[in-house]
Amino acid sequence: MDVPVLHTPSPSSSTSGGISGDELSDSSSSLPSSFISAQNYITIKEGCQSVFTIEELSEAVNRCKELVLDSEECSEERKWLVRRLIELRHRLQQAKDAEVDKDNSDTSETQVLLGHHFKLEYNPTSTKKRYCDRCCGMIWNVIQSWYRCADCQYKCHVKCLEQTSRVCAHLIASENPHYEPNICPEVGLADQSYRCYECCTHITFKNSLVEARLCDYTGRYYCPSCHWNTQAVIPARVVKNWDFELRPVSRASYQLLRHTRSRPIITLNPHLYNLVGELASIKNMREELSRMKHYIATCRFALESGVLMKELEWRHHLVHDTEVFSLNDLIEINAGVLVDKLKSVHSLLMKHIKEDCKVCQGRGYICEHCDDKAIIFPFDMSMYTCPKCNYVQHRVCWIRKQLCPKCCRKEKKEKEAVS
Amino acid sequence: MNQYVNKKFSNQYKATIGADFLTKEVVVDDRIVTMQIWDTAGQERFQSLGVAFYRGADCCVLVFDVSAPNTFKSLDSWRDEFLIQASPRDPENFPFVVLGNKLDLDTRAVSSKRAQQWCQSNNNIPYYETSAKEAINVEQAFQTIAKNALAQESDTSLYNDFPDQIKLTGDQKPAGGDQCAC
Repeated sequence: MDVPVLHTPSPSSSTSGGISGDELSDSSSSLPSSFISAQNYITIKEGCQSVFTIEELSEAVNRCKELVLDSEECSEERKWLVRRLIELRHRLQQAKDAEVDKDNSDTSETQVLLGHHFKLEYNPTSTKKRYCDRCCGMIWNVIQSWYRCADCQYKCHVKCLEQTSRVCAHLIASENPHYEPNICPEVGLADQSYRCYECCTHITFKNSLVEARLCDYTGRYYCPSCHWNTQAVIPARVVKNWDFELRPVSRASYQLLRHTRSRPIITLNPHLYNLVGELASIKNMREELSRMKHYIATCRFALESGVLMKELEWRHHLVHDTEVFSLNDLIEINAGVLVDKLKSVHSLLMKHIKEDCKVCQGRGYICEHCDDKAIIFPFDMSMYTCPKCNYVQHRVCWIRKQLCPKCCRKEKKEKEAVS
Repeated sequence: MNQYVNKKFSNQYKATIGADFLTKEVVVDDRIVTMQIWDTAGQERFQSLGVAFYRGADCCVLVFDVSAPNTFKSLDSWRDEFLIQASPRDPENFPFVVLGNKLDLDTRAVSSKRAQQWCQSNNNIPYYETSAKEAINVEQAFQTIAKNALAQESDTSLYNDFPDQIKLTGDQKPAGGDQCAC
């Protein structure tokens, strides 16, 4: 095919690369292989956006829409068609933008393949060694350019691009936003029919070139070209055993783990807080920080300086939600780095609210139970915040009196209003 | 408050979050004093932040919207809440000032007489009808606020040695969940 064609397979003709219904149901058992068989729906082979006119793209969008409507509801096929529709629309938008703004047209081509967004790279001066994720051969950066996925960092030779069979880690992570919960859920080579879990290469014991390598994350066996003995921290081992030892994982798992490292998707077993000392103090600090945030976010001076908000934005999930962690957080907790960083943010905010800022101090509370005139704040662990009216009082005072003065006043007023 | 300090009025209603203050230097009886005017959130949803600044206030300004009767009705509860939180030494004689704001609107719902009556029955609180938008009476009202606050302060200043360094705090309270952009 000399003329690039937007290839939208029709489900009825299996000869054109489309997928028949049988194939789909067969492949539903394992996620990656079903992705692979469906690749035609998400592969835009011709890459360079400028090749297509807006008319061609709009037509492709319409055709794709029709296909989506024809496909079975909630089917794998429809899912891939919808993805393709999104890609095509994105292209269309890009083409339209380029039309409007011709001087500034971005000529960098992006190849879309199995959810990857490949960008061509060329850097002859780099001394870093790169290997092709497809053929495992060296990428000679002095003379060769290579494709790199902007999402998952998958790298391959230009010639190997077409043979790519691994689905982008970004796509897998967005399909299933949780880590494998079990430690190395091994099923055995026999259950894998003595084939590599990813590329289905036959694995024998006679030849070390196709030896079986176990991925500690998925618990499956891979051939050496899909498993380079790359080492990674395994989330399930961390969550269950607080074990941060590096273990060999397959390339696909490695890319997935690297891609999701900073995503806050881990919720820890509450018992772990008692067993790991640092976790308890981190939990306290996170709770205090999330309450301090209310002060900082509404303080004119803090917003003007911008520094404090920036501190809070640094790994904002730590402050937004006090329960979730990213894998990176846990690794840093284990290394003792995170506690120090949190402490410094904590003390910075504390200083602003309690010492530097008049507005924040004005928004504090004074305990109504006792004669202490000191300003108190809800983020202090020694204070009690009434769950009904948010009124803050010393915890000791509250324990002694067992009632909230503001709630009492409110009730009294309501009674008066009724009578 | 903005009208008084910055001579600006914004038609865009911006709810006060928590509390904020502006300062202004004013001349009262040939003395320059710095007035610190706090504006507190009237809306219930912002009341998760405290009101520690009530403590040490020298005067409290209650503001209601003349076009919204419910804001007038809630003056009582605002005053009571202030007295509890501020716990002044002499609650009976603590200086209050009441402002009926939004005079510029045609939809007036609280009569001048009704407001006057409430003020009289509450220890003769001075009452002003203002419009922050048109800057009507704002200057006069704040002059009175400063004077009354200072009078309160000078009673106590007999006991301290810093007569020239008086900090003045007025409390700007949009009454009962309603805004006031003065």
